[in-house]
Amino acid sequence: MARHRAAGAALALAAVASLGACAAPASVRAPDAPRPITARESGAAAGAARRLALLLVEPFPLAATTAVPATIVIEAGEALVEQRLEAPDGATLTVRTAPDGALRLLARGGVPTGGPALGETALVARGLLHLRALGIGLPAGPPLIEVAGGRRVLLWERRVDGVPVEGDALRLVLSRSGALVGVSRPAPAPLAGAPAPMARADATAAGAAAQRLLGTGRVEGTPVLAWVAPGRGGGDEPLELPRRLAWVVAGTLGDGTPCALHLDAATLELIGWDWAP
Amino acid sequence: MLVALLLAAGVTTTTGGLPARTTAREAAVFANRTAFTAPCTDFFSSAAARLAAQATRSLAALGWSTLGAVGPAFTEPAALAAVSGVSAFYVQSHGDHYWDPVAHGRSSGVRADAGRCENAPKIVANEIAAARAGAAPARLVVIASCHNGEARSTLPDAFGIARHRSEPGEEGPSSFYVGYVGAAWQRQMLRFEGAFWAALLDGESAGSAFDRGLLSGFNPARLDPQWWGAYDYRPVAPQQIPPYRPGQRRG
Repeated sequence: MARHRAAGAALALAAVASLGACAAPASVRAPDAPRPITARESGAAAGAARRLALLLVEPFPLAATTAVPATIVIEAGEALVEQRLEAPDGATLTVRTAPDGALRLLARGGVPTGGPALGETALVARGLLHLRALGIGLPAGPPLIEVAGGRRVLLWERRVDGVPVEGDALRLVLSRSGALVGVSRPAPAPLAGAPAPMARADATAAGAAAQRLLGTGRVEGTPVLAWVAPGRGGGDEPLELPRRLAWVVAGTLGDGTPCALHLDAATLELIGWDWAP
Repeated sequence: MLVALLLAAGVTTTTGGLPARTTAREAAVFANRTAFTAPCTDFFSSAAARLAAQATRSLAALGWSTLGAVGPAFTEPAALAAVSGVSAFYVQSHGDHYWDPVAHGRSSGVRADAGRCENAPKIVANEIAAARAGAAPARLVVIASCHNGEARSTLPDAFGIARHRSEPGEEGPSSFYVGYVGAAWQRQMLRFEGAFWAALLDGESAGSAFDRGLLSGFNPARLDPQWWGAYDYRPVAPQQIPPYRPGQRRG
């Protein structure tokens, strides 16, 4: 994630379009000289954060809240305006919005980690209540629920043609008792090519191709399709590039390390990999 | 290159054969590159260097003076020398609960790089605890490996960090430990840790930064982060206090 403090130029243009009443910029190219975010833009962002604070199911203490000057953040190639509110009791509320005003991230700091644990049904109901309060359209279907660090992570994956898009999920983080820790909604990632007419090798061919690449390692399980961020290798995939339809083939490297190879769905070319040391 | 030079400076400063105590403002960052990319694997990866770079950059921005190594210079002696006195520590490598023949039991730890594809020397909790004997509890420890966020991991204890969470608003230790449960996938680590470090640089507490990591785009089925310490703690480097010199009036 590239982060640009007040001098975050590329996005400032977009922020002007969104938060001021200015005309849309003709180009999203970064200007030659970066400029700080303006007081007007910062004020508009603070207003947006305060409006969202009022919508929360669990109130955020707005009295005596300090608004930290807004900043520009570039995430997955998108310019976002970030506003942070700090309450006297140490609680924080961070809001990131896209140039069109769409909420990308709302994060609360200082939410208790303890409390009575809700069952899954109650947790999902509570999650939907938070989304409705924030005016976020309710996702279809049940979420994937994971426990991490004492929090509950609820994920509604974006699927295209029934295939999940990597990193493109509506994500809700709650405390174990259902308090809102945050919500994130990345901009829908572009896809490389429409899925329907694409030629696809079958899973068997993908497994065989992966086995050739793994050498002394071995393929495990059945390959599955996913829209993945391509890269030259593991860990260097730019998230702003279009996702490619790929067979994800699980296996192990020669030393037994778990790995997953990403093979282009049509050509079976290796377009990325991941592994767990 | 800079990291290698810093490492050299950090680990060759010895007194009577023992590693010199580093200052409370020092942090160490180590990453295993060799085992995770070609030719040790059939595939190229830049993840180790990227994970280490974002940790080094962030710790420096938080006021820490960093030393360490990425690649073959990450050896067992170098890591143990560095870990003896630093207050913040980041490592990315293989991790597990290894058999420790000295202790006749399992001891959690990580593998060094040492330029080896397989069976690189291990750095285990018992060795770290011995190296840190008498040192104050570490303030920030991030173990980017498999298994060292599990409740059975002995690494938190080796760094003097109790496996307990202090709630927001609750008085707690000036310490924070991050590890991962089970298998921890590299691409997911990059996203989680990127958000974690960014939130720390935004001025968030360690607990709140951990929450921001949970809101990043990692796949929770492939990464299970865990933490212990104090939610409200901010792991900035302590103010550097000039050393007392004989004859100097104490204020």
